[in-house]
Amino acid sequence: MSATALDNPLVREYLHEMAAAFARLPARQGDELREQITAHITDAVPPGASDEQVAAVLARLGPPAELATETATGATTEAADAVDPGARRRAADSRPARRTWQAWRSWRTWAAASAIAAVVAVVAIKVIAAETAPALTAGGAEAWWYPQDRARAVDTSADGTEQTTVPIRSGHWQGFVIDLFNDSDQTQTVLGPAYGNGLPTAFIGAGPPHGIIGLSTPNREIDAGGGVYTGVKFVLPGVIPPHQLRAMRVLWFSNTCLQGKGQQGNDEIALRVRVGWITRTEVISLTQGWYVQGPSTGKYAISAPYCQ
Amino acid sequence: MAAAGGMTELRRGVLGPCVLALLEVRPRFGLELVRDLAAADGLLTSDGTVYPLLNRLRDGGLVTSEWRDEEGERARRYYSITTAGQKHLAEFRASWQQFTATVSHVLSSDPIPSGMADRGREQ
Repeated sequence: MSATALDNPLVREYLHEMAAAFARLPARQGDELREQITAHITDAVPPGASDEQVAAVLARLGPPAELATETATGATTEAADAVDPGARRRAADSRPARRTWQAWRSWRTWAAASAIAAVVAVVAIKVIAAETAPALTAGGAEAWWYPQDRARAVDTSADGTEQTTVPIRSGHWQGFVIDLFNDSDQTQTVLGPAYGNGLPTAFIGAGPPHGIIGLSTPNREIDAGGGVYTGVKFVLPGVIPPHQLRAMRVLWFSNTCLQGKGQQGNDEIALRVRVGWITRTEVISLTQGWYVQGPSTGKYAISAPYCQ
Repeated sequence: MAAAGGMTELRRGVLGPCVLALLEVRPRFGLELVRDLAAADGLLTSDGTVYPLLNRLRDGGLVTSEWRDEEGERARRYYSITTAGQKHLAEFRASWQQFTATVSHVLSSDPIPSGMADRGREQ
């Protein structure tokens, strides 16, 4: 004896056949009919029913394949029309309704696909635009940040390369300020230096503070002869709208060791910049090299014998 | 064989209105409906065909269904006739009287009243 009607081997076999037969029906119809037939069997087979009783219930239900055919084709026939003239009309009415539903579903599918395609296109355009946007460029005015450095700067030119050099002031902050121009059609946001690929690592030794980069807000033109930056803050992230410039200040703590007339500096600076939805590294070529020159004095972070 | 096939088709054709008539009395669940139909001898060829029919009637807006959880019983799907179903049933009843009369006349080889024949063709 089986625990429930659905555990009866005959019922299980019937349900198995039913699953196979209903597989060719649309999912909703198949699922609904399966639920109805299963409920019918559960109601019709009494507890403790014999196999003969179960077999009789299943026989009265009819073969699953016949139920599937009945569902797929409907009951409308010419003979049925004779006694039920509305049947064909109803069937005809319901078929367009299904077609309408399918058309509507199809319309929704196309609309959704179109919307997704539009979004993908917009994203692609924005990403491409961001990736192809011109990098920031340095140019225009520039100056050493501290007056004592400006006063002692030596500008040289060799082989078409410009360089400005100041004595290293060991144990003090030094740095410069330049104009940074955004020639692209998109806002570019400087997030900070790309360490290991330019300033400020070239200027400094181990241990904090390392270097500070900031963009001016609000914008202020740089006066190479000794700019006045009263009321100007240098911040990160620094936002440069399209086709505008900002002053970028680069400061570092000079604790490197330079022996004799040794120099250290950079001709470019690498920045992490967000353009639209992407973040990239932009290597900014400086219009001139910014160098400090030895000899270093005082305490140094680097333990070199000649600096002890 | 041909006569048996014709009767099968006739049964299938009238089964929908019969289901509507039973549901007009009161809502019923599947097996209840099947048993009531089966009680009308010769109307139901197989119990299972009632369910595709119910689904078609529901898709046509003539029947609606809802789950009911009667006390002490497991939840069952109950079928009810809709207003559209009641209207359809009323139309069928009117047509059926006329149809059966026409068929009876033809089968009994009685002369067909002219007006009745015309009405039959209108269908």
